[in-house]
Amino acid sequence: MSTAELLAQDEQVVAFHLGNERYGVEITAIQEIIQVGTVTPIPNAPAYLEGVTNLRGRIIPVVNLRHRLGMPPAEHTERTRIIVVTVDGTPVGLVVDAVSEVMRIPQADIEPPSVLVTLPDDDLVRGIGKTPEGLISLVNLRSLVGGL
Amino acid sequence: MAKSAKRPQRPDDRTLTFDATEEDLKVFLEDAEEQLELLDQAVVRLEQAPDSAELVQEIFRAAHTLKGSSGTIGHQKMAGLTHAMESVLDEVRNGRLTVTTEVVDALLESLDALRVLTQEVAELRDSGADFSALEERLLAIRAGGAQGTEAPGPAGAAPDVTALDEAAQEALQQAKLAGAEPLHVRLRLTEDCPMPAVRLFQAAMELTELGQLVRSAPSLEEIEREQGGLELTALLVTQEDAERVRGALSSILDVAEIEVAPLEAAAPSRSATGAAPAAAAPAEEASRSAGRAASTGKSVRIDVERLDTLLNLVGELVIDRTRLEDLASRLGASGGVDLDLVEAFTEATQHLGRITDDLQDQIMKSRMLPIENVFNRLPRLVRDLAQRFGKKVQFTVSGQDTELDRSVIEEIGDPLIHLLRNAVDHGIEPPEERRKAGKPETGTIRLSASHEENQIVIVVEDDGRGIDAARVKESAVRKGIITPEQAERLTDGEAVQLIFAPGFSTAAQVTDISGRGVGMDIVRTNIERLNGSVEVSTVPGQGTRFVVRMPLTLAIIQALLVKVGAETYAIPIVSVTETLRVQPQEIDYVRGRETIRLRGEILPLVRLADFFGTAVPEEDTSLYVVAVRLGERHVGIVVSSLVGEQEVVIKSLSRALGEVRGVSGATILGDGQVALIVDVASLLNQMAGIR
Repeated sequence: MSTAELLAQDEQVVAFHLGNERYGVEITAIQEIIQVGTVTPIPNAPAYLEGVTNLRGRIIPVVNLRHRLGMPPAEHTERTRIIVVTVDGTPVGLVVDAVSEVMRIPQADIEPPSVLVTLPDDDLVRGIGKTPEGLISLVNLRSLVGGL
Repeated sequence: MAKSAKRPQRPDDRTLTFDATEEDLKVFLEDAEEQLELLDQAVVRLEQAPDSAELVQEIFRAAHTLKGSSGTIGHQKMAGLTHAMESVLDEVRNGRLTVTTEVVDALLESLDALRVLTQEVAELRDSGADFSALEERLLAIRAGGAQGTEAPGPAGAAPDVTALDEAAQEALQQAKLAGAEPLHVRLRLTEDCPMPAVRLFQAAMELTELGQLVRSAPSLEEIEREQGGLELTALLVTQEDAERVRGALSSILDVAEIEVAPLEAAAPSRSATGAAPAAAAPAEEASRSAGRAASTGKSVRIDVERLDTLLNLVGELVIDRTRLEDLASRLGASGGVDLDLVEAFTEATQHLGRITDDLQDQIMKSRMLPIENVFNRLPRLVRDLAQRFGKKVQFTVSGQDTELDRSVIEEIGDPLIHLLRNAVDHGIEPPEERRKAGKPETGTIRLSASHEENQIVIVVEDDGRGIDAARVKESAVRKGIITPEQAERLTDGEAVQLIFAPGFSTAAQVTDISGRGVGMDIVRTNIERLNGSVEVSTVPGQGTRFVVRMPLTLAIIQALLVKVGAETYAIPIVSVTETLRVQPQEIDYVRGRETIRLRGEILPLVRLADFFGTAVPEEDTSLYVVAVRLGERHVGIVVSSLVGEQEVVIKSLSRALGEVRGVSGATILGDGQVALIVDVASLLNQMAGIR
């Protein structure tokens, strides 16, 4: 099997932590990963929108991923990061507890979210990856930020 | 080259396809828009100066270009219409047709039709519009012109063969390169010549055999249709000498006189016949194309987004500069550091600061366009309006080259159009009324633009009947805008300002133009929304003058920075009338709403913290109130503290967020923090809604 074919069958994701869960976002959507600067709250916006921040002169919205995924809030720490992703051409920041690694998951090891019968009725997660280190939820970016 | 637009298979589908790439079509559309705009202006000017050969030539050239480009992409309807226009213009150019209102009307209508047809290209959809009647009308006008000159006088209709179109110019150039000489040929038949058309045709054929017949008047077509008259003037490019040409022509029967001379030498005889100087046209042509070449050589088209990005980056530089300045002062204060080093550091920082300022300035300037872009379409508008209302109007425009940011250009058109509509409809009197008043029948509307400090000042002025203060008062009282007592107290100058009050309109009858529910209050609100202002002054019987002031750019505004809790907000300074400190006991409650009294007037308050849901510490001992005004509405914005006035660069909030209620945008402060800009208009609307 050629390298190209291998690549086509693997998905490269950046893994990050929210509490004790592991999540992943496809590397192709990621613009950069930055430290949390000052975030200005936006009035009358959905509660999971932490606010907006200045990314080299460009103003980008910052989504608190814990809140978005229905997890309890947590204080920002040294390891808190903003993953800047591009969704439909617009940069959006996602606040995560920590970024751990870049990993390659074979397509064959990605299950649809329906394997979890108790999953909430939404499409915020598009698949579950099985890795030697455990399961990783792959987030669905469009659904995450689409409601802003 | 003209290929036909392919018709779709299904008859109900009106999709159009053209034999051109997407890129070609884009170029075509840009070019067409440019030519149409040029034509619009030129045709309107032609009505004022029907004898201007230069203007006719300009119009002809633009129409010709359009014909060519529409033919190339295969838009036959468009090519057909431009051809009809061109043939009318050709008659005008050759002095066989006089420019009348009828001609101008037909040409202007054709331009409107061309816009529809251009739109077809943009949308790739057949509009279904049929302009064949218009085409016929043009051809009828042209035929009228041709008939009127069946027997041209000896000196009357000397055709301007040297006013050459581009194709002819090129032919001339090539011929010269090949060593051929351009000759000017004039041949006249005897008065009693029995078959003049045949003789002229023979002569033309002789000339064709001798060389290249670049141009002739009458043209071969006209000769064939026997519309030729007794004279033939031609421009011939040939290797033969003048004598040989003369000899060939002299063999034709009924020829009374023959003139053959090199092109330059022919000039005096031509000007003697009343046409434009021969050498002038090609020279002018040459200088024009040289001018074009020069301007294209010095400028490039830049995507606006790229300029916006540049502006963003400079904004970042400004922030870094502020940081460096801060570092420099901390370094100096920390002690134990080489003072020379601190000084050098400070110096470098200051230099960086100056460069950054210049850079920002230059980028702002590169976004500037002359206001011409808006003004260009106005003469046509005024002309059409004047015709519709039966007014006679002379419209003058000045200061077209005044530059302002493209963001303002996009927004200023509508308010101006409205002011002009008002001037034609309500300002300028009908010709009769003007005559009775001892004024010239033709009214004047002047539009001018100029710079004044950091603003652009646009003046719309008419010499019409002016605004009658008494009538305004009466109308305002009747509409319940003011009480009779208030009316009593108003000076005439103050009364006139009432035209900006919501719900006010002095028009006795609502016309479809000025009175489409859009009052002067909307005009003022729209201008103020853009951080501008509008003032009116009037002298009854003598005219009205509107002065519109706009910022040069919408990208940078002067703002008052305020704090609400820990958050900083920016309030556009143009909306701010004053700021005051208020003690809690000064606040009155009127039907549950907080108000204060400000010089006898009641000012309703809105707490920004409540409006935005911003967290604030429980008890504020004293409050700051920022009084803002938009149109006729006032409100006091309650904030925690005032930070100061500052120039801020407006940035849009992320597209992902869409519209945010009460926020018009954001800006980045010196410390890199984002501050939201308060949208005063939306705040006031919300207040009205809440109440």
